[in-house]
Amino acid sequence: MVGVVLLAAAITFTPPSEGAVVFANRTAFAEGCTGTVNTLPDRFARQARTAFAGLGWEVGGAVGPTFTRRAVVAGAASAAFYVHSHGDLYWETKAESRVGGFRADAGLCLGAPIIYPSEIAAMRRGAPPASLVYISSCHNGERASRLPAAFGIAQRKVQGLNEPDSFYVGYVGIAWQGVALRFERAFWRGLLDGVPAGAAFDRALLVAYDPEHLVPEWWGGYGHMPHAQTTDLPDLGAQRYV
Amino acid sequence: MCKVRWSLALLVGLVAACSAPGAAIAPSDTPQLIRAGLNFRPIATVATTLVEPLELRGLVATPISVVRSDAGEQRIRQLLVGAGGIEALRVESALDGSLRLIAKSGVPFEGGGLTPSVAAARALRHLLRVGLEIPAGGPSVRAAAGRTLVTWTRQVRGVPVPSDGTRVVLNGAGALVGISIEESPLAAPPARIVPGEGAVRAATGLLPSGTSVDESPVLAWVAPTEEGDELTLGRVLRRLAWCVRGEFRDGTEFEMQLDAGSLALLGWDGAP
Repeated sequence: MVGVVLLAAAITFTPPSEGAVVFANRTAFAEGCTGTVNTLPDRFARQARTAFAGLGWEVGGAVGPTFTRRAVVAGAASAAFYVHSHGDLYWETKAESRVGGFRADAGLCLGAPIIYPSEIAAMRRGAPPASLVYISSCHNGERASRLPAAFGIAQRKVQGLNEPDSFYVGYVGIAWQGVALRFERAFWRGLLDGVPAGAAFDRALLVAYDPEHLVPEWWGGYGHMPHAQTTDLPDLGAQRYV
Repeated sequence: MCKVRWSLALLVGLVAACSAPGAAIAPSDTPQLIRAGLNFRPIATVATTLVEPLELRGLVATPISVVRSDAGEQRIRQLLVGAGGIEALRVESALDGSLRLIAKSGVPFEGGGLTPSVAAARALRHLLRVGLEIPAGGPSVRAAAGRTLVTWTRQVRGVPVPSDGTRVVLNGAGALVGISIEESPLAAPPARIVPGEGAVRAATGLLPSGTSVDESPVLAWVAPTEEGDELTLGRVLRRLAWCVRGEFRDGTEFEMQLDAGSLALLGWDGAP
């Protein structure tokens, strides 16, 4: 009952569509659940936060048990969105199909709540398409995932004329954390170097990760340069060559 | 050796800092650096072998800089930028002059994909065009996001060094998107390698009950997970490790990496 009230409260709250959020699931990968120390989720989140901040956004979100369904729903309308967690083509009863999505942390090893694309779409109703969305989980780079659409991004690659001001990255099939961390680091470095999102993605493909362990995918505008709309492209100092 | 590298890096940095901003395709500081004994290939030379003459029009070279790669290697970076200062071509070389990275921006998504044999042949042709050594063995060919990745994984004494080797990225028509060459330093192998069964026993002891473990671990040269952080500046030595795979109760796959000599836990990888 309390959960329903909280969810209703979150739905009535319309967050600003400017700003960025970063979420990472720490609990499911922590020693208590896996038997080994794993700091990778914090590193994923740190990389993403640094990149978003470097691109001029104010960064919110949550890492660890405060990464709940409610926190995601509240931040879903942000211009830039990053999550690292378990993901799959989860079955949604309401849609009677496999729709994609990811799990919250919620302090649980197993069975944490699933955030479905429909919940994000509901929160984004009326908002412009997100500028940059990075779903760092398994399966949400597959065509069957409805997460890109939930963020207002069509599943097509546009290069040249009429490029959308949006970019979505996800992974096809199983994505191993070790190589994903390297791929993402290269992608963020590319963006902070001032290259367009598509070129940053191309550059990350050149990181010599094992392609059996990671199949990245993107949709949106190849030449899109994600950054906070409140200002012009941020001054990236020595990191940019413009 | 390390001191020599730092001296070279300092020299490159000084010349780069003192040189005027580039205003033509040939960077003005390149000849000075070459005269100073740094034998890396100027970006203009690489560009003329890779980029059509018409595409070169309007590109400007920026001053050379010394950077660290994602794996922590010091490199000499050269860039050509186009209209609006957008990067068109990047070339990175190790301090000994060996070519490490060529990355083109804006390569069109055209063509309908390549068969593995055609992709491998195209990749070899691109390597030859820029005068790079042909890697030993056959490559793996994988498609990702409208590109084709042709990868030769480095092997040392028959054991793979994951994430090291030569990679050529092509578009669907076989045009070059980029080339990367990665070669990490390796620690000395242990005097005695513990048999694989010992690694499985050690891993099982660390894991929660109900976890299933694959009984056939494999050897690989791995970078310890907790080193090589994005804040670490030095290069991380790779160590010979047993990689033990398994599944947690919920079906999540994992891999534990244990030192092949001491069975100390070096790293952990999982599939979210």
